[in-house]
Amino acid sequence: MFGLVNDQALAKKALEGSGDAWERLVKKHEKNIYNYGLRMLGSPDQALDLLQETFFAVFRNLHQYDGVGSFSGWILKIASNRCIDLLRKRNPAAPKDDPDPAFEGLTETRLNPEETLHLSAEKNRLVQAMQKLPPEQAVILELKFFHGLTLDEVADHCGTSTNTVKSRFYSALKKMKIHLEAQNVA
Amino acid sequence: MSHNHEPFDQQVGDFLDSKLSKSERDAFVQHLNSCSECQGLVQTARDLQARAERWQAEPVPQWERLRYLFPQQKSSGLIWRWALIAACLFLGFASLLQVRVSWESNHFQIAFGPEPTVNPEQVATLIDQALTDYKQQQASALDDQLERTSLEMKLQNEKLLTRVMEQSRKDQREDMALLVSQLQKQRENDVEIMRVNFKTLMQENSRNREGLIALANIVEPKSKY
Ligand SMILES: [Zn+2]
Repeated sequence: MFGLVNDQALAKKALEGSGDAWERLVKKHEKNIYNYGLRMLGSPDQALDLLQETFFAVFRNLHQYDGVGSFSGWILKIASNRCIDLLRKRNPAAPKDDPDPAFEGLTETRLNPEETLHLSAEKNRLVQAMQKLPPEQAVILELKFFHGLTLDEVADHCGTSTNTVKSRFYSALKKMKIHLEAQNVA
Repeated sequence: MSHNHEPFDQQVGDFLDSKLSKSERDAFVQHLNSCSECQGLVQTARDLQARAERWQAEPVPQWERLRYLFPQQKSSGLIWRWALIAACLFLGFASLLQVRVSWESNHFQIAFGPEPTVNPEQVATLIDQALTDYKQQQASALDDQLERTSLEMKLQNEKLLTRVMEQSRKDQREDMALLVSQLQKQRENDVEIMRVNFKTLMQENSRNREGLIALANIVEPKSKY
């Protein structure tokens, strides 16, 4: 009887004005979005901002959720769009793709230096390395490894072609390899 | 030495997802055996996968999940925003009309005078001051209102208020700076046009004067008779 109420039913109740249903729906998905924000944005404050903005957008667009596809995927899409907007605003000059394998913008870092993360050393290293990727590449690694999407699904999620996603995935791996290795040396 | 990784660079993801056909997979593995770079990237991908699996979700800090269900809180924010825009426009026009405005003990002091240059920094400071006063007022009003509710609730609202204030203040400063710089530009433009007009007028004037003098010289001898 309890625990099996699906997201669509909760969404419907929330739309009808049930604060309880909305709270249950949010609690079910917020951890996922918050951790997504931590890895992508590199700061707890900004992750919380992203979380709040995402659920604000979710609530406003709740009537548009048609039950096709998972609710978590739908929320994640809203969060991704918002997150990439935020990162683009932070660094509008960062290239989406690398013009050549010489890794332009390799040293570019997206993390605000005065913000420190209170994470375990391993998590911190990963987040730091993620911050050095262009947003469009970081999101691919995030979706592929942390959300288990295939690259076809990532392409669908991002609204880009599969070939573009494959090229960006390759570039992203190259950079991650270098940054993670650099951390091991340091 | 640079390898050509095509088409294998496009296949790393499909290889990891086990989506390559038998022949594609064989070719890919063969390439891996001869290409340390691609090999390293497959290793990195597996490392990332392992890190993702080890990632224990961080707990979400306290936040107000029900905020969006109560639109009255949102509308008060909207009114505040409009008040800021109105204040911004007022100060913009004040600077144009050379009005001196200061913020003293909770009210604006307005004076017209010959000390007109309003620079963006002064205006921003002024607005900051007004915002700080408003914030203090709001904070104390909040205190009274929330005395009955829990301490946690109070702290959260104050934090929220601070965030809204900082956000507004930043927007405000940007809007103001833009407005002032545009007004400044317009004024410079007007002055430049005036200057050019005046110069032309003066040149014309002096040419007329020369003409008149020449005429007078011609006319003068006659008048002696
Ligand atoms: Zn290769």
